[in-house]
Amino acid sequence: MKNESEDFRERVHHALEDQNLQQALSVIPTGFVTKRSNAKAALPDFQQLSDRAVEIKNHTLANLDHYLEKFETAVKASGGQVHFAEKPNDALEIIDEICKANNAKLIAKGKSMVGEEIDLTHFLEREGYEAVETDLGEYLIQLRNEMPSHIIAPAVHLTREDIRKDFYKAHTNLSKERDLDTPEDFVREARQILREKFLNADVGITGANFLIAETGTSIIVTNEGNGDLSQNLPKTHIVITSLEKLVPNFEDTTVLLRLLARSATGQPITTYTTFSTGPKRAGDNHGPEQFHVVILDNGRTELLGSKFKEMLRCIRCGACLNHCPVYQNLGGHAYGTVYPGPMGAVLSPQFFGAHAKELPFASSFCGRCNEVCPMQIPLTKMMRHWRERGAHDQGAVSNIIMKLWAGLAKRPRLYNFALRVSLPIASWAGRQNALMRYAPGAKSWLKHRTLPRLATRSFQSEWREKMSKNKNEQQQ
Amino acid sequence: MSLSQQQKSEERRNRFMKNLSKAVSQADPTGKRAASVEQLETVREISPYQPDVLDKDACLERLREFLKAQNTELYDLANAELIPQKLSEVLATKNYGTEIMIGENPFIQSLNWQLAPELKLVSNNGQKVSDLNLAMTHAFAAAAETGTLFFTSGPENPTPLNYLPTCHIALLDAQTIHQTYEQAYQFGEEISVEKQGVSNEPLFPKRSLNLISGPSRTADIEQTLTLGAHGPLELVVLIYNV
Repeated sequence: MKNESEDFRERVHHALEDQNLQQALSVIPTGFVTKRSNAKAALPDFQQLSDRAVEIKNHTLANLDHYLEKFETAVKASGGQVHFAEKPNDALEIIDEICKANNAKLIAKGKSMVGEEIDLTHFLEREGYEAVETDLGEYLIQLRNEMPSHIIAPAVHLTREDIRKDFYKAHTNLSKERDLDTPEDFVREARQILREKFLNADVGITGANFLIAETGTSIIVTNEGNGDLSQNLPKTHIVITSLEKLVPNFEDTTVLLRLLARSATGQPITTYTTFSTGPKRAGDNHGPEQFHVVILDNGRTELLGSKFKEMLRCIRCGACLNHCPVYQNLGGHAYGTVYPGPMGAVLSPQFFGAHAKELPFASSFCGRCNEVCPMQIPLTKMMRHWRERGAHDQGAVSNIIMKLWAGLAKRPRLYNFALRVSLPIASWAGRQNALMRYAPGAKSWLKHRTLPRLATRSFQSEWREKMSKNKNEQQQ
Repeated sequence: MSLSQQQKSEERRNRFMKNLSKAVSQADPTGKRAASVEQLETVREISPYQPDVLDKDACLERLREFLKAQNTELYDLANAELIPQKLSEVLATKNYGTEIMIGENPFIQSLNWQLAPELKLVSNNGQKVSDLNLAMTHAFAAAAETGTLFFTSGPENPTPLNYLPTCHIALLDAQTIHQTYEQAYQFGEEISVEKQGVSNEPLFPKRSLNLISGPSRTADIEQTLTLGAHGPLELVVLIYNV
């Protein structure tokens, strides 16, 4: 699995110093944030819908096994198949088997975050298939062999200059003299290249935004129409998704749909919202002959009974990323996992383990994410739960320091003595900014700040003095 | 699927379900959990979403307002007989030629196309097409709330024709404009029952239910809105029976 979280701190530095990236990221506050705010204001029922959405997801999660069973029965009734994958490897194996059984060579892939989670496209390439990302943003990052930097705008970190270079390099059959200046130029070129892929693909793989238990329906929302072409033209359609996408029926789905696009891009609805139920029917002359839904767990079931349960309400709108000051300054790659931002800081440690353990610390706890989450997920609370867990596992040095501190704090006399001895020294040293620069770890902190002045006496000794003074006054 | 694959797949399913059932049961301190799939409705306490009701005119107005804001070209027609001539006028202003691909659609075929002799209708009955300038399909309903057209799959309106052409022409009967998604969906269920055939397959939703609210777009190049990403560059909607 592609996961580069280990040197989180290093990547933060690189992101902050990368002028190109900073330029690309500058559009987030003016774009997504303003548009979402306008879209929310234009729908007076937004809060009511959000409350209802929370009820729907809570009810579904409380009965998730029943709804999954219901979904499976309905998919079968419409001629499709459901596959169950506990771990990423199970999902990859299942998809590989389906592709092999269909003698697939070319695979058209719609955008799927679960697909990213299991690193599906790289896996398919390694297995010898030609797997093509068809969402424009995903296509751009596939050309660069990068991971997405945003859950709904995977190439938000790229500038036009980056994309121009990649297109000239990749599309060698086109004239070298051609113009690539306006966004239209890029979009036309990608359309032309990918149109052939849609038409010739043997298998189409898409994600799912929601799964309807009642009818066995899988739903995707797109603006480009790439998902629809990926799933309508090839002979086999595979949906790669996860179990928390389930909702009971159509009326529940529409409540969530009303929140999704408005929270994500600020559109009232995405251009295309598609409900797929099974393979082609008798009399149909278009559509896939096979319809497979692969349902991934990968630790989600564990979350059900945990403090992170509410995270399973997430509908992947990306509002928490767009409004996060840390994300706005770093972009997604610094997080090193395919789920960045506040939602990623909660989910990634669960999905990717130790690699992502530092992510819950990538927050100033300003709470904007909690406010803008249409599913009312208490994101900062959950990051705090991870921090608490992490605190038990901070390495040998900090464990020794914490033990020494605990030993001191439990012995009041020793504590007072230590304070009396150390305070004047610390207070003096604190005033010597030049000297403090040599203290371990203090250099980068002091580069832009001066230390606050420490008191020369402890609170306890001042308190004692005050009390004895009061006593004297009373006696007089 | 071979026998061993089938066995493996059964095992995977059973393990998955067992884990899930255990976790869900443990995670339920409130006891508000259904005892079985059949009991789900009894523990459900979610009231439906009921927005303020718009009258028929307000619905048409809202549909127009949203579709226009979503870069769609709209024409109102008093009745369906006016479709050929209007289409002829509209296409004369564009550079897409005069050949229009349609499905096996009795309604479209029944219109008097002699009123627009230069237009040529080409039927699609399953063939894949790469370059397609013009295609026309009929929406079975619309939801005014966000300017959204509802299409469903089948030989009458093949789904790819909504996505492949550079210019997608959509027909919509004004009498099928509803306020909400739910109402449009319910209308779809009703007309499916009327058309009930011999098949045992679920009548509605059909294989594909497609909600379309404008031409294809992307903002993946520097967050700049660009039309015609993979699907149509233009969406032209002719609303008849207005």
